[in-house]
Amino acid sequence: MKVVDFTVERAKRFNLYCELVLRGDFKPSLPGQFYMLKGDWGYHPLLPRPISVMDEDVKDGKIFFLIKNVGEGSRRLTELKRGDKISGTGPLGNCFPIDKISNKDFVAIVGGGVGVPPLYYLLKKLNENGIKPHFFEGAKTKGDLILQGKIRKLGCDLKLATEDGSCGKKGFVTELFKWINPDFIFACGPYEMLKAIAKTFDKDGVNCYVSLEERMACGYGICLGCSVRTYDERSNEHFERVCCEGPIFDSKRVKWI
Amino acid sequence: MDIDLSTEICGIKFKNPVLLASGCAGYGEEFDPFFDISIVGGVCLKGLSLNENEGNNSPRIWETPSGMINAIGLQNIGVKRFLKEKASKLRKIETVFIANFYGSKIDDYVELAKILNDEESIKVLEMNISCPNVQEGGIQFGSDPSLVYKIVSSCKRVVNKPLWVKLTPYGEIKKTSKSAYEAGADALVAINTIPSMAIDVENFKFRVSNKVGGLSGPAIHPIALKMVYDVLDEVPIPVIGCGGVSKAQDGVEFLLIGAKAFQVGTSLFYNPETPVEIIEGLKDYLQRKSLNSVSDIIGKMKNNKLGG
Ligand SMILES: Cc1cc2nc3c(=O)[nH]c(=O)nc-3n(C[C@H](O)[C@H](O)[C@H](O)COP(=O)(O)OP(=O)(O)OC[C@H]3O[C@@H](n4cnc5c(N)ncnc54)[C@H](O)[C@@H]3O)c2cc1C
Ligand SMILES: Cc1cc2nc3c(=O)[nH]c(=O)nc-3n(C[C@H](O)[C@H](O)[C@H](O)COP(=O)(O)O)c2cc1C
Ligand code: FES
Repeated sequence: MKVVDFTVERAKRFNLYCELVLRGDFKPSLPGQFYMLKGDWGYHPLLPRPISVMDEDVKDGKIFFLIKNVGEGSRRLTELKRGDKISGTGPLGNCFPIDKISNKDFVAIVGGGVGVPPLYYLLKKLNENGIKPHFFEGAKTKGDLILQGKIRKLGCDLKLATEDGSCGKKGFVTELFKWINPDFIFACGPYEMLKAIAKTFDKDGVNCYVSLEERMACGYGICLGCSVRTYDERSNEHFERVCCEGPIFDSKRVKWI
Repeated sequence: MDIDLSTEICGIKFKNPVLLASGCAGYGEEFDPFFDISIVGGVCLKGLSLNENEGNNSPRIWETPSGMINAIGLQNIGVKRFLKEKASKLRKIETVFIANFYGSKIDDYVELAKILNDEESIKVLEMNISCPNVQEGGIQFGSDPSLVYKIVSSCKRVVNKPLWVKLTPYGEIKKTSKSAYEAGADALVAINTIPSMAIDVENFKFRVSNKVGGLSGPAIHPIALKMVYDVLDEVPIPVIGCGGVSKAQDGVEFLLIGAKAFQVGTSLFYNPETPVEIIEGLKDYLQRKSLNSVSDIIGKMKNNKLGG
């Protein structure tokens, strides 16, 4: 990890989202890792925001992020323009354990909202290893579904669910795959979605990994602001930092609240 | 022209007046990816207690205009694990390590002071007295002058390394600083975070799980500066400024008012390279003012009358 001075190469806005293409001298990242991003707007907002890597082209010096405007910090990031300067500390955190998977395994990827971008990067990396996962995406309504085109372009089987039934199956994304028996599940999205997935697949033989979100100040392990409760091998409860020991956790180790 | 950034506090030499604040610099290892920690004058380690402390439930932080509220709850590995796992590594690093410590009763403080006084890698002890005293019904040690006297004098008796007392802005800082001085504190650090609160009005929830947290960051800098000014007016011992330093100019303000050094906390979170920039900025400042040492600016404004 290091502090990288990025320049905005391209900013493409749609609905509440903005796809940022940044140029800079960065280190390669693993799927699931993130950056703490902050523009040169001084003291408000003060803290950088954690944003996952959606894709990168190390040779070309380009890195891709997809950001949703949900508040002051993310709004500033979605309003960046070509040529703007932005600093990013990263890559941070652990990654999805893709080395554990063989091409015989049934792999399910499940995403919702801003959880989808890091899963796209995961999908790409799995494909490079010859693994063809099944992708499940959920949202409130049709307009909230993202990255479908990009995911399908990789030849991936994508199934959709919306709460209002405006696209794909009506209901929560978990409705799409209750019946499956995967070897691996990788999930990123709203807390309640992750919790439901963890509950559904809380059985032996299923390796379920979730990417958690928590408020962060530093992103590199020093403030202890992002701690969540987890269980160790002996079922003892303790705190772990989402920014360092996470963001990706074995769902069986998370103390769900 | 060679610029001398060094400063001396209680007989200990610091290569520059830039110290990293407790709780914002871990145990000194976390900056390795960003810069060589031996460039800073000193590092105040994460506050230690006798036993490991888990800290508060999440959410633990909330951002406010130009600042942040934290309610980490003084999570730390405890002094025993610190000595076993971290201390030996510190011995090899050429900067001054300052052990920050706290307890919930006076005996805890005394016990910790003894243990840390004996650790070779630690050169200075920094008492954090902004925590609730369980024996006195949870009131903050640091806001009651008579308690401050009791606790500081008790610790002073068992140490021979310099004892710094870190003051809370809560209460009357002139009175508490005087008590700490009379009880034998070798230097004072001002200030710790400011008690604060924020509410999510849509969901009727407090923003941090503990309800109350401590405000830090640029927002508190002018308050901290005034408090250092007041403390210096009251006591003849060295004072170290702390609060909202994010660039060299903020630190220079503390020095001009008479602080011997200053600590950098929250700004490390949003810019881990802050110390490098501040040290460079200090050199630039002195050069611009045609001065060649930090001691030329320490206390330069101390005797200026209040007012414009
Ligand atoms: C590891 C990680 C990776 C992330 N990756 C992405 C990404 O690729 N794209 C993207 O758009 N967003 C991502 N996020 C979420 C993003 O960081 C938050 O949306 C952003 O910090 C909100 O800041 P704000 O100032 O805009 O909103 P605020 O004004 O701070 O909050 C607005 C709303 O968002 C909620 N919120 C704020 N921060 C978080 C958080 N960290 N977790 C959950 N809820 C939060 C608040 O409770 C509030 O309801 C990621 C978060 C984490 C922890
Ligand atoms: C996340 C966090 C943790 C802190 N932990 C401690 C601590 O363990 N002991 C202590 O004396 N002060 C602690 N502080 C207070 C800081 O050392 C400092 O006094 C305060 O944050 C003001 O300085 P700043 O505005 O530069 O951050 C902590 C502050 C923050 C933000
Ligand atoms: S965000 Fe600071 S420790 Fe995780």
